Amino acid sequence: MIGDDTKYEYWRTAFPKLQSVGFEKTSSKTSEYNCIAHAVGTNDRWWSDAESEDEGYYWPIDRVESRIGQVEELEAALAHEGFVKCDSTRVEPGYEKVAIYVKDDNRWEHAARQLNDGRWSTKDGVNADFSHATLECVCPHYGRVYCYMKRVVAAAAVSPAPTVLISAP
Amino acid sequence: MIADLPITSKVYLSNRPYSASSDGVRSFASYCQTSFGPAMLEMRNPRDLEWYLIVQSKFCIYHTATSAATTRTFHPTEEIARRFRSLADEWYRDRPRGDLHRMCEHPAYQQVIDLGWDVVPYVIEELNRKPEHWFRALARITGAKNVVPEESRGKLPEMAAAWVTWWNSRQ
Repeated sequence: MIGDDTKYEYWRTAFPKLQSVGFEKTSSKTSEYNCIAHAVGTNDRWWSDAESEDEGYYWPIDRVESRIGQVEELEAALAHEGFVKCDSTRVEPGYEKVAIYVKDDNRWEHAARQLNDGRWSTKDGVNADFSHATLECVCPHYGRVYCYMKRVVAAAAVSPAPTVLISAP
Repeated sequence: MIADLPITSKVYLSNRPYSASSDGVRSFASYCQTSFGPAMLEMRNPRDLEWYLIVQSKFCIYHTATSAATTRTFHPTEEIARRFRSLADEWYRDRPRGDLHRMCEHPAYQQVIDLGWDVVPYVIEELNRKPEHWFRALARITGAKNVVPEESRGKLPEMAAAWVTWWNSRQ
């Protein structure tokens, strides 16, 4: 666990299923990045298809006004970052995966990133990050899982196979 | 007299002696420039004839020229400061933790926007103290364009610094 600055009471209320599947807080509370930034591995920016570019948020593509806040806009942004839709959450070496959540109004609500061990990592808005065993345990707070997307892990980001040193007897 | 007002005050003016026409507002601007030094006059919403006058001495004057214009009343901005503090604390405490759109839809955030130009100095002060998501409010109230440079987009401390710089450059 890192720090003690997040109100666990809030998490217990917002995500009642978390307790039973297990979760671990993995960062301090911060407003400096959001779930989308975290899902694509950039923890120094807040990504948003804000209603106006003049707000100053980061978004990798030109916003399409008619779909601001809609899940199609997020899909397009992630596609720009190299993600393609996929149909499984199975861990695939050489790929990183994200899951997108939507609410009934078709607005994207959240994205989680898959960890190497198959668990998921979530940045909870202006709160902290936490890892969780299943995608469903953060529903319905984040709505429902809409789709999965994956991209090839950049060569530099792939962890090398561990080197085992065997000393001579 | 306007000259007797505390340094931070909000002023509502009646249609007299300044008419609701742009000429009337410009006369008023001219009067303020004479009294307080260089001033910037902005027409915020031509349809509603809302005008904002920002005088260099950080003396903010707000003029709403409408058919239902009131007599002159003065509201010390300590009131705005208190109101902003209360709304900001409520927003920090109760805002949805999800995406930005939902956070900014919170009633307390919307009420900050409704305070208009008068609240801008306090939002800027807040950004100076703690970079937070006040950028939508600032963009909506001020209509300012391209405040945050491309390389700083999304980086909260740099976004906050850009808005503070923008504000200071207007003073």
